Amino acid sequence: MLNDITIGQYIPGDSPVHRADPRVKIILTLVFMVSIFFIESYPGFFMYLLFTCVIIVTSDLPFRYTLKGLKPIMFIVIFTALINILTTQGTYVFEWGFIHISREGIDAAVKLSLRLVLLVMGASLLTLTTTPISLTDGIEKLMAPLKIIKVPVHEIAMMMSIALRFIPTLLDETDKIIKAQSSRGADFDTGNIIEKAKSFIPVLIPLFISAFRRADELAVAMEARCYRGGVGRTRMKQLKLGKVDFAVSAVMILFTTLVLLLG
Amino acid sequence: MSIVIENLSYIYKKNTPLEREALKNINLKIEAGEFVGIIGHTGSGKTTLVQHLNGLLKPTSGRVMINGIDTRSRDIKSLRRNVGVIFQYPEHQLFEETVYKDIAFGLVKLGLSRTEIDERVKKAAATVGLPANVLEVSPFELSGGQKRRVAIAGVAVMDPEILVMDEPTAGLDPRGRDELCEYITRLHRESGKILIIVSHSMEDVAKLVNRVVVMAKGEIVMDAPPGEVFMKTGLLESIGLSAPQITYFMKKLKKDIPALRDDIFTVKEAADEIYRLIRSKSNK
Repeated sequence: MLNDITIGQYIPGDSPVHRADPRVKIILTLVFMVSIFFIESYPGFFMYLLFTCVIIVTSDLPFRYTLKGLKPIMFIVIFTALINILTTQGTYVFEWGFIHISREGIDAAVKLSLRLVLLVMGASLLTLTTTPISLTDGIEKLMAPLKIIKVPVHEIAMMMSIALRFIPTLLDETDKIIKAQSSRGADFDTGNIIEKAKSFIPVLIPLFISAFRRADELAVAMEARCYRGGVGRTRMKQLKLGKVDFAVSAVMILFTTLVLLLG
Repeated sequence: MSIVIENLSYIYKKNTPLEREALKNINLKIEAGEFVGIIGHTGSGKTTLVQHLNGLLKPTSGRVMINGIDTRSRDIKSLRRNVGVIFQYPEHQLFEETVYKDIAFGLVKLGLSRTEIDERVKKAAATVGLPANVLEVSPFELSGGQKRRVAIAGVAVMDPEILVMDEPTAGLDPRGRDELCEYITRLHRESGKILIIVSHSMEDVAKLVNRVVVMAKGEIVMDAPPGEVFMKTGLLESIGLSAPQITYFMKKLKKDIPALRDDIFTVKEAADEIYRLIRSKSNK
């Protein structure tokens, strides 16, 4: 039932993209996302789409599965595109009653949709090729300078990695409780919206209880292993920049400057 | 009531890189009154198989028929009424303010009258051995064994024709285990329902069931009475299982005392057999 969620899913692999340092990947993803807002021409967009496809292929990601990640945002894309089409003024190419469609509107809508799609693709490429743990490691390292102004960087990173770690566990748990309750006669599909919301009480209460129990057990387990925050803590995997990282960065920088200069 | 499973296969997360074949070409027929134990290593597909029986999972290919009706047909509600499934650690699904309300949950959903609900809840509580005074207590105040009983009563109260229990005795203390086994035996003897238990405990299976289905890697590798299955210790061990401990004990003993039988799977049988031997010797 909850198996359709692909956002945040990591797909194991051994491509250069997989092996690159998470810090580099995070920064490059940000560069990619920001640069999307500077492209104005269709050839530019085409180059970006092509580039994204090339990354998907070189990372050994299954194409259809990667595209499935776009499904949840399709509604937003269509909605914003429609608003753009219907509200932008300019030279009208189609008029019927109160509906005016302008050339500029279509142009804006197409570009906006492409931007949204590219943004989500960029973000999901990062999570598809990076384990949640190395992702939070990367974030912790990148945010380290903030420690000077007393931001609890290590704690934030630890909370993030715990939260990420438990998403699949809680999804499994929810699935199991839904199954157990439907086996004893619960019904989640019929009735009006209030009845439907009420029907989830038998799922939510056991889910909360188990989440609290897990949190408690995890805290005890962490303390039993002498966890006491980030001070003086060393890591098993030290992040180190290697050849792959320079290669990946070079490709990315070359591509963006080229497209932005030409487009 | 009957269960007929034909060429059932099930694939988790089909069409994703994470897809995994959990069941491969399962064929199984279970008739009224049978008491079946399903055993297998973790990840062998036991739970997946059981979830097909009340339509929680639908076959990727093949079909599952309960009483001649395909589980893919529309009427999932009456299917769930006929097939009760009690999950592993069922006490984790308790949520109501009182034990009474929790047991009555399914009945209320069925829209039964208040007097009938009352009657059935009290009867179910009594059969699983819950004293009447806990009915008004919050289920979260009970001990683990009692919580388990509340959860089992919550499914048994629907009076399903087929009752499936996934690891019913896991995590219980020896006394809770014995009492639960006793309840299960009584239920089978008195009701003539189809009972299915999924278990890791060979001792429980040997004690309770009259047919054992052994699963490994999503396939049925053996389907026979417990006597036959537990004699094949080599095969069981090769798929990560074992015969009951008492069987190993009797086999060892037989090396010294060849007059003993070694096709024995419960402690009670073993005791009877040893008594028989002692008595026949003292008679001489």
